[in-house]
Amino acid sequence: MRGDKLFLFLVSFFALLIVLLFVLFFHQLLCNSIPTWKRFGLSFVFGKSWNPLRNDFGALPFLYGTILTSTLSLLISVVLSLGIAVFLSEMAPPRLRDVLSSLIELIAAIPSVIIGLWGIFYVAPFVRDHLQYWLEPLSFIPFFSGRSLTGLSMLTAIIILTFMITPIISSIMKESLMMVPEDLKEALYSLGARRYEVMMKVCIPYAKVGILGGVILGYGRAVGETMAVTMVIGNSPVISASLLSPGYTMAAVIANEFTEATGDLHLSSLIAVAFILLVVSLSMNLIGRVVIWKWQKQSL
Amino acid sequence: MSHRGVLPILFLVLFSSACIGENGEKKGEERIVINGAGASFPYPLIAKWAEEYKKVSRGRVIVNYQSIGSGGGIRQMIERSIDFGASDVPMSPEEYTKAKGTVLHIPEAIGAVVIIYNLPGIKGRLKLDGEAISKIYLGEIDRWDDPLLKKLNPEIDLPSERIVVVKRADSSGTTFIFTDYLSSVSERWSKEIGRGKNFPFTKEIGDRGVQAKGNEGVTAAVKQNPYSIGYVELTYAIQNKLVHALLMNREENFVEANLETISSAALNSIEELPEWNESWYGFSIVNAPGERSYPMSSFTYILLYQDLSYMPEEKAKALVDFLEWVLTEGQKYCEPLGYVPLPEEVVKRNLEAISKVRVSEDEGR
Repeated sequence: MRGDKLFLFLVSFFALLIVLLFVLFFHQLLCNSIPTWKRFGLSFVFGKSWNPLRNDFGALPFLYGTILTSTLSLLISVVLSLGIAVFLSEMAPPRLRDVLSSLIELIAAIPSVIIGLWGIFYVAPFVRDHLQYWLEPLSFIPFFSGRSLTGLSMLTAIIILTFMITPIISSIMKESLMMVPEDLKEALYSLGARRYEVMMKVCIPYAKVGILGGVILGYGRAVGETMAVTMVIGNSPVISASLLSPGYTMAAVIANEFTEATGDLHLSSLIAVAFILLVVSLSMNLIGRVVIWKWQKQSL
Repeated sequence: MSHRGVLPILFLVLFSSACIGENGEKKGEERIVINGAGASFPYPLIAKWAEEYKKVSRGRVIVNYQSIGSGGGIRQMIERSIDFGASDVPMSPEEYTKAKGTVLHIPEAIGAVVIIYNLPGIKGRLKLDGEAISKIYLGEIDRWDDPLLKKLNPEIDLPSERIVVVKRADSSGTTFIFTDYLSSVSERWSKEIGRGKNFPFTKEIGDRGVQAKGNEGVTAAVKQNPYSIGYVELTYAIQNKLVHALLMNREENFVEANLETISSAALNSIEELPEWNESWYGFSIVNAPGERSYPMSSFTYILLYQDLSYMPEEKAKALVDFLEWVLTEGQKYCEPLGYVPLPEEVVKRNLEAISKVRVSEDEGR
């Protein structure tokens, strides 16, 4: 009995550590960014200029870059991943499924620096020399207007991010689709349903919690990805509707400027950017959680 | 059964490792560990010095240097959490007042920034002057066949292509030297942009601008994009065999960045060197006088407190000895690594500054 109590105490202590860590995170980021909030207030979030030489700081270009690149890459990736997961879980012969699954996991394990190098040496020139000309017919849409002189652009970052998060999302989706009980599917087949209908009516609804979980995880990676993005995005704090123009993200500016930031306001502004990044990724995560809770309640 | 065996083994391991630790320390003389941190530019050099000095001191003095960036180095100097710092840029007055005492700036080597470019099919070496570089980076000149560039390069057939302008995305000492030079030669630059470890592109640059991380990022961006221009550290350009432009110096000669032209710049700035106990902020050797002086170079500094009595006397003495060795014997390791050794006069001034360091409480100095 005493052992049990000790054990209970120990594990609840570890669980509390997580909460403590979380609170400390918030506290530290907020405390260290106070000079920035005092000086600029909320207008820091909506300020468009970032000039350390004039002590003029605004986070909007980074916020815009982060949200645009991560959301668009997530949208593309979800479509791709769903296709991959459905194929692997339902249609692929077992042997092919094993080979492909391990290949996908292998891709997920590639360090982001290497993906960034691939981005600089292959994807960016490809965007510059080919892709942007293929997209020319679409140039009436603001997203595809203009032209990239170098290929280092938000579009390149989106391609890289899609490549990075698809393996994670698709393997989680595959796992949850494979958990769907055979009898459910067979019941529907016996009623004469086609594969597509079984997929849409049974498998995906049944696995939706797991699928959304994968999406949240992928989004987390896309928002926080630093190295690969900073290598291909062009690192310009501008707000442009065109995906072919360079951009900047929150994670990238922190990584680029933190080590050499000596001015107090510069330092605290970078920490303020980190705080915004934390809030953005947390709120996205929270939205996802709430949806999952609702779905779980419905199914009960 | 099995988990009963674990505890004694754990004890045994802990106990035995404690014994080994004690014996190891007692065997040799007292080891002294000196911790430094700061700029990444001198890292290979300081690491080499640490390695060689360990041999010289017969393993007694271990120097650890972490290249966390000049900013971090200065911050930790202010906190006194390291024994010496290193920075490519002298401390600002704001930092200087925050420091706990007089901080000495000891130049330990010289570095330079060079202009690299990508002009496909062009063989001759590009020549530039301060005006041309500042106008390119301000966006006033947007094509290679601009009259100003043509005038500087009459023998090169410059193409009518738009210039892709590459700069460092991360804050860096390299960018500081670059902007320091441009501020000293261009009025518009010094008024609108100024000197700093990072700067924003002007509106005129528009989509021609690329910002890349690190020397390696700038190099990759220049290599990948025809008709581009960028700036990197000389050591990096040498290691990667990059062709760099000749620059016009104050006496209107075109010079290449090399050992001779860079030490000439340092030699010709000696009269302006601040005294050992003064703030070094604002001192630089860009655009130095002298027939053969390369205009875009800078000292890189070791920072230490003049009053070292806050650390154990043994350690303070070891640090001073190490620095004296670095400035004399150690200078021979500069050149093979691509750094320019200090001219003798600068070494003399440095040794004088180091002689002012207070190593213990009861010292009268």
